[in-house]
Amino acid sequence: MAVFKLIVTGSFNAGKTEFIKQISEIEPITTDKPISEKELKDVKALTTVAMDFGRLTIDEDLILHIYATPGQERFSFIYPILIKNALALIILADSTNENSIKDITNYYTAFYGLKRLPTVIALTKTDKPNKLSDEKINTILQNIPSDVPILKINATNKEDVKKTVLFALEQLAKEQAI
Amino acid sequence: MEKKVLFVLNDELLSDIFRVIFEKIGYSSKTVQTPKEAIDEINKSTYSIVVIGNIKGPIVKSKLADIIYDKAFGFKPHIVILKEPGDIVYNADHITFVRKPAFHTELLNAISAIDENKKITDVLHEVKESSEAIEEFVKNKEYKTYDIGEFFKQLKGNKKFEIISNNQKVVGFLMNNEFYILSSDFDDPYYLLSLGKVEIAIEKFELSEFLSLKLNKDVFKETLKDYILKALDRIHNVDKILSFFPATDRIISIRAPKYVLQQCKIANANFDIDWLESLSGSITIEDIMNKYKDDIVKLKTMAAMYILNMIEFTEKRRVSNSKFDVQIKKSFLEKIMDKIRGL
Repeated sequence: MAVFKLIVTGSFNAGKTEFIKQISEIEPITTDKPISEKELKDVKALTTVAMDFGRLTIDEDLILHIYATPGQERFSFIYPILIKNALALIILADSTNENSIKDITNYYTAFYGLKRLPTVIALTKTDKPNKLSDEKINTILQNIPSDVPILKINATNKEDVKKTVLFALEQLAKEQAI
Repeated sequence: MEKKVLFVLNDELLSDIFRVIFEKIGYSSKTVQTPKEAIDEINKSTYSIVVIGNIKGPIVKSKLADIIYDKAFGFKPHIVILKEPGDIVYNADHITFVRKPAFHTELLNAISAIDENKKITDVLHEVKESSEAIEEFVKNKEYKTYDIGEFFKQLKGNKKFEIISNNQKVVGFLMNNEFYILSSDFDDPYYLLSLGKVEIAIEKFELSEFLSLKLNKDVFKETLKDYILKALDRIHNVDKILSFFPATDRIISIRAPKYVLQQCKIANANFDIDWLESLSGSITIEDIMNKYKDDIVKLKTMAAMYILNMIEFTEKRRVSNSKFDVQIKKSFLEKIMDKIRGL
């Protein structure tokens, strides 16, 4: 039985749990608890404490595990554990939140330092009127390599989520084809 | 059915206290520290009660309680969760929430505060340790050769040790992350970290033995972290500092959260944790030496982080033309992509 992983990361409230729900064959096992930071309490009642977990059975010998990592920086110690057998990294960010966009570079750097994974950046909540401008986002993300795809998605839309995952895996397939 | 209780606890003091309590009421007990060990155990044996406290790993207590209850083979255990602020509380017939006891740490803190001069824990009476007692403190005299830095790196839990270097001996123990030296042939307790290769006998230190130990006021005691930081601060030779690292060409990766790293400072050194985090996974000690030739404080801080397991060193990636560090059979990748397309 071969088990591979897909890692979904991103800052607080970027939509990681919803993202997993779209492609997991099981109701994601979440490890949520009430958040402790006072300033975040109004934003979201629950935040991922450790990680959410979803599963996709490919066939009887092949399984894909989908992990959403904690948004808060203090849980970055989990990353080295997660990367084993990981196939790709999806970094989600809330396009209405400048800090969420800024965090993308931190997540990219943290994972890249551990393992070079095909990566896709997916911006969520792009239909909101208070989203950051493309120009602003491009400025914030200027240190991300230009070959890392940046998509605008709805994390509750299955087709968007499928497209995001496939964008990541196609990078791997392309390299194998070379 | 034999009455058995499983403690899922990452707190040896509390675990020992619970064990004594449960033994008094006829239970046999076992302690595990991680969720995985707990689930393995619940699959192997039948337990009447499972007590869940602070655990190693990312899962929250309530979630672990549900998994244990579901996975328990045959008889379903009652689960007692030691609740702390922030823990999820919900009603379920099979779960009882009890406030996590704090009396043991309060007691130790109170005793520690009694001695204002040295701020050490005089656990019981002031009785000078006899040389015989010191000699017998570590019973298992199976010495192994260690690099002293590697010994400290591996020193976890409650342990007794006897260290010998050129016929000089140091006897001590680690209890609740506090480092004690009972007896030493060296005047400076911090000199220990400068010894290089040493012979060490080490064994588990039971709480009951610790509580019955009669320590005099002169016993050296410090948190392990502070001990390592102060001991490194006394070393001024760069080669000595470098000897604590596995190899200077290995890549540094961070294992501890930022707030933990921030607490690891040599004296008043202003070590830039953001700088270290930004370079995690891409720099080696060699790189740091090249960039900061005269900055021994940075090396000392990194040595402390390494010994205290806050950072690790991994081998340099093999030179490769591939863009990604991912290995998967082409057929597997195609199957996964086809499956996702078809969702």
